[in-house]
Amino acid sequence: MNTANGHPKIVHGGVIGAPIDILLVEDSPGDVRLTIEALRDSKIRNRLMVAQDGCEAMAMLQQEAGYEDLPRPGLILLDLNLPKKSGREVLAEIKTYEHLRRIPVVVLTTSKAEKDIIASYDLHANCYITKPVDLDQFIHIIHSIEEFWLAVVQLPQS
Amino acid sequence: METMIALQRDVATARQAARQRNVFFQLSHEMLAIIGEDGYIKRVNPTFEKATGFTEQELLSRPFTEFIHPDDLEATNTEFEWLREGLATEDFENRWRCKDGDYRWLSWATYPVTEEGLLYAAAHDVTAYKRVEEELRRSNEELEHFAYIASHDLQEPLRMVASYVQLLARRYQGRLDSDADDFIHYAVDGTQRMQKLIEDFLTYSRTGKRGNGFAPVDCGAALEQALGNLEYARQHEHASITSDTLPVVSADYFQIVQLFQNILGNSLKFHGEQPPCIHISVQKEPFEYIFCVRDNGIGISPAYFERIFILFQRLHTRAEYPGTGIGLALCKKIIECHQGRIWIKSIPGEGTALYFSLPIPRPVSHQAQENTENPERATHL
Repeated sequence: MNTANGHPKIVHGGVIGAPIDILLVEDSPGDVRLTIEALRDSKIRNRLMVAQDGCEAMAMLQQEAGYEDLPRPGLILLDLNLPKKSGREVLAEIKTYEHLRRIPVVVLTTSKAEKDIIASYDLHANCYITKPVDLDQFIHIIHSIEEFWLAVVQLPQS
Repeated sequence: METMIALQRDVATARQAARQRNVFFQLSHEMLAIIGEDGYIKRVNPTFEKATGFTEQELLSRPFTEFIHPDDLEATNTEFEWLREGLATEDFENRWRCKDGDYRWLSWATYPVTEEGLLYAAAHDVTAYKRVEEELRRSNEELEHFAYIASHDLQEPLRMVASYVQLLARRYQGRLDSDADDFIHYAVDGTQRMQKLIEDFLTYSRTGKRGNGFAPVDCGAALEQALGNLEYARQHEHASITSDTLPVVSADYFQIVQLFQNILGNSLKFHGEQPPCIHISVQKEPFEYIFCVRDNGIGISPAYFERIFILFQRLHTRAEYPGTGIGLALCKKIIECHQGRIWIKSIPGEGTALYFSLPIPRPVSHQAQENTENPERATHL
């Protein structure tokens, strides 16, 4: 199963440890590829799945028709500006499901607006990160996110 | 007999004075009224009748508060209380209901004579002015919003260009020929400059009259904060910065900090052989303070005294001195928001003196004070 621009739905990166599944919810193909490139150089082994809008994200998380074989991710990277269903709506929905709300959600977006930050934390996002404009900083942030949420932090076994 | 004549003369003089006042009362293009402390209008002139569409009889028949716009009632009553205590007021604004149901904005000057239990009031119609003010405010808001959106939407595709060119540089630099390396370098440099320009443009467009209004600002404290922000640069250049005791003005604190920071930043940057030596002085004039920031830097040629205040205008190449050319344009915008002026005196090679003025805070009317704290109320139409 490929994304609209021909990338495979699951992309592998990293070298160490049992691979962690990451769901990236992002509609800009340019940003998707940047994230893939950043994760490719990461130390921690990872499998990246991509949803290009809010509806697809929920379908993948719920393992609906067409997505039954997808693993449940151990980490969600969520953009706020999405077509169909917005990042805010996805966030709110995820937190209503018992089997989904334990997955850490990192809001990763271009907006630095205070109202977006407040809304995200109110909806129980685990953290909020503004995408930096500089590439080196972006790569550094992706690696930091990974290291923190996948190596430093304790996640539930299930 | 003499006392009788003197008395008659006094009466005649008094009668003539009364007649003169009466003529002017009737003639005046200003709306004139005499209002009793009991809340009823006692007399109005023809202009008042014409402006409101009511006859004098109609205006006298009920408490004047019945003509006031409900949103202005509280402020009007408060102002009325001040007047009853014997305090004259000026520039009080409220909306007066006219016969056709419309409201007109009036600006009042009122003088109480407590022994008579009367208030002598003159008003003029400022409705047109208020409308223009409101339109201007809306237009400015729209412009700022537009500038914000333009910059914001420009940043997205720019981020894509910047990121991928940098990715190219990381992945392929050294593996292609040296021409490719040069091309990549210029492309990356271009995108970084564009990002800085958009950032600065956003900063510039956001600077303006903000909702907070003005409050007393200790310029000495603002200077301290600016110096704190520049400490690294100051140490790096081994600069000495001194100042007179600075006054308190009515201003936006953060904008004044930004003002000092930009001006001093320039003095620290554009220095000559010697380490920068900067002094800030102030002079009190009848209605304003004139500040002067004097340095011993490279100076500016008189041909450029006006140009340097234009946004993104620079006098040097980026190789000589970094920066987008926003500093002085931002200072000028801030100063203009504060109703001041800014100008430069300089001799190339001998340093620069940058002058700016800030008005001395005047005691304000009760309502003007309120309007500073609630600007939405002030311009609602």
